[in-house]
Amino acid sequence: MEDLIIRVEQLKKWFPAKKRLLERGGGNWVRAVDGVDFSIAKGEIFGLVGESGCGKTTTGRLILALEDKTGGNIYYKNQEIFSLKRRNQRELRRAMQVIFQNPYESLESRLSIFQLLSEPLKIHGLASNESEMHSKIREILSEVDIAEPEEFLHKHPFELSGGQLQRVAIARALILEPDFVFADEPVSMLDVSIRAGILELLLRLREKLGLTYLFVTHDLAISKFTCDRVAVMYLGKIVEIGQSHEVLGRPLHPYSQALKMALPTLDADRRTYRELPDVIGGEIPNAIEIPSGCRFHPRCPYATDLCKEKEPDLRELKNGHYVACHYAEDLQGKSHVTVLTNRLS
Amino acid sequence: MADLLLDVKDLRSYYYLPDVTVRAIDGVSFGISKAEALGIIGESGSGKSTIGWSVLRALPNPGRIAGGDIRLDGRNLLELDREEMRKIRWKEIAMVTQSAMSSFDPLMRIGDQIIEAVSVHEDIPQEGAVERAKSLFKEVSLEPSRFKSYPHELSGGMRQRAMIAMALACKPKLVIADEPTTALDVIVQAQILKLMDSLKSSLKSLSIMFISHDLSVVAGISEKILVVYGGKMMEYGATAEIIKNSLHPYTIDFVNSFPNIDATKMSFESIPGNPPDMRNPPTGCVFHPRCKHAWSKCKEAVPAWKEVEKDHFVACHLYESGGAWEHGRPHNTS
Repeated sequence: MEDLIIRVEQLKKWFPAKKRLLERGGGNWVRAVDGVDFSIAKGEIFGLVGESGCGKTTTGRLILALEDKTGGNIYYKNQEIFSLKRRNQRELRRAMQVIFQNPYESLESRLSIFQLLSEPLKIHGLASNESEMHSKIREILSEVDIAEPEEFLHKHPFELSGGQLQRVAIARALILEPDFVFADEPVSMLDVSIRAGILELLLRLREKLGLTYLFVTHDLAISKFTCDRVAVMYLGKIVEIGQSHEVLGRPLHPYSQALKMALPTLDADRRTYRELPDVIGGEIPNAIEIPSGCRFHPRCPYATDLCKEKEPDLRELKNGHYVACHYAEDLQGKSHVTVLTNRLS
Repeated sequence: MADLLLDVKDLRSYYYLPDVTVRAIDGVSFGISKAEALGIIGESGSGKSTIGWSVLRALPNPGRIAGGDIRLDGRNLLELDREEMRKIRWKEIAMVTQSAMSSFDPLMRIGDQIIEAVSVHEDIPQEGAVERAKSLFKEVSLEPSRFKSYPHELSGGMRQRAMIAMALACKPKLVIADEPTTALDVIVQAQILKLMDSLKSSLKSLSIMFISHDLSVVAGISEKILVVYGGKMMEYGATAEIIKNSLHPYTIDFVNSFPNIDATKMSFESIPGNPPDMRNPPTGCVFHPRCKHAWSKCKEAVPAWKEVEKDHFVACHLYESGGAWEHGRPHNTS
C-alpha cells in the first residue's frame, strides 16, 4: 500500500447528553462519531462533507487529539496517537496542524501578527535566535502571498481583512513545518469573491511543501474541486466514499443525491432543489436517538422494511467508490432515480 | 410606472462614528413593482443590509438616513412621524432575518407570538387572530402541534418558517428577507426557498426584497437583481441578464467566483484584492482598485448610472463615451 499518513478504524466519539433535572440512571449519549473508517495517503486531500451535526468536525478534532476518543483507533504513520508517550505527543502537535473556520476567533486579537507567528516557534523551540525567527516568519508570509511582511508584522488581527487574516492563520499552521493539516471549513467565513484564492493557495502549498490535508466542508462544490477523495457523513457515519469527481459528479447514496439536488445554482435550468422529495426534508433525527437500521431511512424516499431493520455496510460498487445503502445497485437502474441522477450529472 | 410599490431615490444612509462618517449607502435608487421580487446582492460591507434597515427606518445606532426618498405606494416614509411609521412596519413592510432565534421572545410560545403580531397591528377579535395564526402555520407548512412550542424547541428550519409566518401575519405588501437561509444547512435551505417560491405564487400581490451575499440563492426567486458594492449601485437588470450577460466588471468577476458543481474542473476565480475599507473608500469608482479594466477616469470620477441595454443599468466608465466598452462589452471578457 502507498504511504498512509492517517488511518482511522472504527472511530467513535460519544458525548454525554445533558441529563434532565431529577433524571436517574446513566443518561444518554450523543453519538457524534459512531464507527468511522478511512485512510488518507501522503499528499492526498481528503474531504469530509455533510450537514452540521454529522460528525465531520469532531472526526477532525479527534485526529488531532483535540478530543478524547470513545472507541476505535487513529494511526498517524502507523503509530496509534492516543497510546503515544508524552514526548512523542509533543512531536505530533508540531507535525499535525489545524486551520480553523473563523480566523477572527482563532487568532488572539491582542497579539500582533509577529507575536502570533513567533509563539508557535518558541513553544516548539524551532528558532535558536531572533534573526532565525524573523527569517522564518518572513519566509512563511511570502509563501502565503503576503507581500510586505515588515509593515505587516506590527498589525493586529482587527486591522486585517478576512482573507488576509485567513492567510495569517495558514501561515501560523505551516510555520511549524507540519506534514498533515486539518482544514476545518477554511473559506466558509470569507466573502465568495476571495474564496478561490485561498483554495488555490492551499492547493499550491500542498504541492510545494508536500502536505496532506483533511478538508472538512459543508460546501459540495468546493469539495469537488479541492479534494482528491471525499466521504459523505450522516449522523456520525460515512454513507459514501470515493473519488470526489465520482461521489459529487454521480452520487449513489440517496442522501448524497439529496445534498446535491438541494444546492441552489446560477443555472436557471438546473434548479433541482425544487424537486427535492418532501420526505428528505423531514426532521434530522438527533444523534441521541439514532434510527434503527439505516440511519437515513426515516428521510429516505426509497426506504423499505429492510432499511428499518438492518444497518447497511459500506460496499464497494465501483472501483474505490463505496456506498452504504441496501439498494445502491437497484437504485441506479430504477427509472425515477435514473431521471434524478441523469438530471444531476 | 403605475404598479410600482417601493420607490427608493438617491438613498444615503451613514453611520456617524466618533472619528469618521461611514457612508454605508451612498446614493442608491431602485424600485420594486407589485408582486415582484428584487434580489439585492453584495458582499460584506457592501451596504446591502443597510438598505433593508433603511426602508424600515430601523437603522441601528449610530446609523441615520442622511438623504433621499423612500416611497411606499407613493407615500414618502421619511416624512412620517414615529407613530405613522410604526403602523407601516409589520403591517405593510415586514422583515425576515438570518437569526430567527433572536427575533422571537424566548419565553413565549410561538403560536402566541404570532397571535400577538396579528392582534397588535390589526383590529380583529381574539378568535379571529387565533384563526389567522393557525392558517399561517399551515401556509408555511408547520405542524399544528408546534403552535405551543417555545422557540428553542424548534429546529433552525422550523424557526425560519415560524418567522416567515410572523412576517406574513398582517398581510404586508412588502417582505424584506435579509439572508433568510444563510444559517441553514443546504437541505433545509432548499425547503425554505421552495416555501418562498410557493408563497410568491400563492400570495399574488406580495413583493419581496431578497438581500443576500449568495447569488445562487437569490437567483431562483428574484425577477430582478441589484448588485451593490462599497455602498454604491454597480448594476441592475433582469436576473438572467445579470448572470449571463453581466455588464459591470465587478458583476462579471463576482459571477465567476461562484463554484459550479456541474463543471468538470475548478472554474471559479477570486477577485484580486479586498473589499473597500468603508472608513476610507477609494476615490472615483469604488471598485477601481480591484478592477482589471480600470482606466484613468475610474480613479477620478464616480461613474454615472446608465441604461446600457433596455432595463439593464450599470455604473461604469467603460460604457461612457471614450470608454473601451462604449459600443458593447467584448464577449470573451472574464
